[in-house]
Amino acid sequence: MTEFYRAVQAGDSRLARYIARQAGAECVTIERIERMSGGAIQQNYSLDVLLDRERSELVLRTDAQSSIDISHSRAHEFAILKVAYDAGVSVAEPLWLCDDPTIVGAPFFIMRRVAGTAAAARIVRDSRLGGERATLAERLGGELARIHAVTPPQPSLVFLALPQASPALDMIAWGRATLDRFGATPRPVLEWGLRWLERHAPPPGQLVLCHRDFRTGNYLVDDHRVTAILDWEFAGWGDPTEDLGWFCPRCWRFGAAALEAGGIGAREAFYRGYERLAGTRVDPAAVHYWEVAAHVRWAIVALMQADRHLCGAESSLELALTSHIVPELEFEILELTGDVR
Amino acid sequence: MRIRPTGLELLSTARTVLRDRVMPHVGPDQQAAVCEIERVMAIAANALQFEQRLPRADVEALEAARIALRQKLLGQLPQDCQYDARLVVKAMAIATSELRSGADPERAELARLTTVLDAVPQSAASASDVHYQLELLYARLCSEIRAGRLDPGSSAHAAVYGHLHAATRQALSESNPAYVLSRTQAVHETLL
Repeated sequence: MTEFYRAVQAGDSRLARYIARQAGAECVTIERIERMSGGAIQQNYSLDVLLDRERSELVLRTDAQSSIDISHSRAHEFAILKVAYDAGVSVAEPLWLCDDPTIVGAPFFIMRRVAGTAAAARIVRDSRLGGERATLAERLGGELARIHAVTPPQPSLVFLALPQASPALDMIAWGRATLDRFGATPRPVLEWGLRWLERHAPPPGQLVLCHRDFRTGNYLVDDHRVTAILDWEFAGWGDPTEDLGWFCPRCWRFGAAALEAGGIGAREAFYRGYERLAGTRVDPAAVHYWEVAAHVRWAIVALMQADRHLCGAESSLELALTSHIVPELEFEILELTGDVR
Repeated sequence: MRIRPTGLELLSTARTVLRDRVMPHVGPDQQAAVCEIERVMAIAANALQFEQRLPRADVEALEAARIALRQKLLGQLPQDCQYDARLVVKAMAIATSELRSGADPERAELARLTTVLDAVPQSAASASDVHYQLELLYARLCSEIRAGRLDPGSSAHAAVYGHLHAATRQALSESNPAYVLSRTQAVHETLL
């Protein structure tokens, strides 16, 4: 994103002037700006900034070259982040939203930088990260319960649509409509999964704020604890069990298959942390349902990401290879739905 | 049915990544080795493009090039471009699997699916004919599944499930052979 760097690296850049206005500072110097790893849909830049000689460590989040249509705009993501921050969820403090595309070439927001790593493979492999593992799993369950304590209506989240039929049936309708857009390459296993989900769909229940991408790889840990929940671009009103089912399936355990809670701990510890704060019991059968949904949804998103490469929107070997995750997900869908209920 | 992007499409993109994002970081003494890897990839991509059966020696050359990139070069690259090089290695592995098996798996899959759906066999001479026939039959299968006509209790339910399982394992054997192995072992351990 050379245009981005051109826009921000000049000494008296538009970005520096923007930050000065927002922070009420007379003098702002951007000492360092560096692209952070991860983020196929959004891009994050680490900023070291001197605000009237006081150093601030910030993150600027903006859109990737092309995005998929289920992710929120930066303005919406900023609003969700503020609600989560106010609800006591561990998130980076959101500071300023800028919808003026002339500053860095696209809308963006700035938040405080939080220390830690989100690299999933590293977190799973190095059990010293994040503190004692059962405690980490419990704390993550607690973070999720705090997110789910946010319920509709919320004045600042009016852009989040309420489910039309039910969270489950809406997800199935979205999945089928999306697969129909890839009409030339039918995916019968995903249809099989969607039909199973339709036959077993739970009735509409309590609606809460769902993160919808709450998994290892999307939270930061330091040596002792979880420091921030990241990537709120898919959040919306939904069934709370959806997030529990997204955290646990094999596809998000990063090779540590026996540690069913995100490859970092036991389900029991994760559920315990959730139940303690949420005040409700976790229903394993309901989690099983949403784990099937998780594999189906991730497979469809992977196809969407690969399509960005195939349709020429963004030539990327990483995106192209994403579609080759789909057979693994399809294998798990068949394993999870093979009980011919 | 092979997933897109296929080995050919992956190889084309992987060559660009190798040339534009890996090559500039390679030391002078390793440039010849990377050029050779790219040459072997070009031969394989050409064979895939024209649906030619690549001579066994060329397939093994692609595999040898992948191993050389992974084992000898990757560790010497700067951290910044190691991820790109790993993606290239992965793309080469998928392309090699496709070249080794050719059109045989899709042809066998088409024959099985034709039986499961009780469809009239159509002639399919080339690999792209086979792929096209598979797409047509799978589109029909998708409609049947969505309409609930293959739910538990229907006569073809078990046969369709069995077919999808076999086809998925075949796709996995090209996309990620290690995954099949790990899941099979896990199942054995559970049974024991």
